[in-house]
Amino acid sequence: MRESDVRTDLVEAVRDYMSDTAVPLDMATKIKDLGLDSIDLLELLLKIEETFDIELDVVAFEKCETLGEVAKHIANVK
Amino acid sequence: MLRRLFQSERNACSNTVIALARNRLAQRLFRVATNNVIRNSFEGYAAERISRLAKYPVSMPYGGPPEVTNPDVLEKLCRHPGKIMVFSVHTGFSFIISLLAPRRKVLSVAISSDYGEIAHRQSGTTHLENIRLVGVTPFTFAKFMKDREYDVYCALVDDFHQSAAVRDGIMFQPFAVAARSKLPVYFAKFHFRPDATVEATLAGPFGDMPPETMVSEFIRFQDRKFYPIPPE
Repeated sequence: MRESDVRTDLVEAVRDYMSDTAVPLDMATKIKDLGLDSIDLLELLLKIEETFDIELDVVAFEKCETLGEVAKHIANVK
Repeated sequence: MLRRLFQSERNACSNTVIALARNRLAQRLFRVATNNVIRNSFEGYAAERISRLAKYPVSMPYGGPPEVTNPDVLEKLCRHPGKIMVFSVHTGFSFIISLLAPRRKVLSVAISSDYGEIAHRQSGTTHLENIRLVGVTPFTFAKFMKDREYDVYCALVDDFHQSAAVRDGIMFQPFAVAARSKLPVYFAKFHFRPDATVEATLAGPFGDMPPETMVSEFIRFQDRKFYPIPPE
């Protein structure tokens, strides 16, 4: 799967876990700026796995600083 | 020979603690010379300091695994199916791990792996293959929930840093995570006896209650003061 194909679905998945829906989301958005707590992050991870039908390694996911890096990681795993 | 040496080190640690605890002048000097950040009882703090003096790679294990006052709860905890959480407070030793690692796969949350490893050595923890050390990050809980092997989440929840995340010296977040995830929670406390042995008491499972209530239950169970209180 190409990285560009992942982006739209990823933004939608992340949007579901944002309390403030007005926050703009793009590939430069930092994960730490999403304001997600421990359980939000777990749920987001599971949602991404379900959306893309993949299994993510938490340690690798944790290293991603931006949504762009997450998209790249998903594309690599796919 | 090695076994005997190990045993004599262990006795040396316990005997030194007993001698210190019986000598008021030694106690005063010890208190003045050191800073009891984790606010152990005197026996516990002396044991932790003495044990740590030996340092890597021969940290002196303290007098064996704790004696459990309510083994029925330990049994229940060890047989509890699925993932569970166990909360306690810092003592300088990994007593929960030393109790549980022989029987369950434990994910231990530590500020740094160095501290975790030192604490494991000091408490004479066995079955190291049953322990996974994980640093504190927002992803710690995700690592635990996605881990297919390690099903006991073990965290020490007292914290002397004053912040919005710390209430009455206890970190609120682990309790909030427990409440939201609906995982059963057990509490553990450890008491250093004057004879230099350690007593463990467990309680639980707790669940289906607001995190604020669980924090209050935890403080009541520990039956001691936490930060912030002025240093001695």
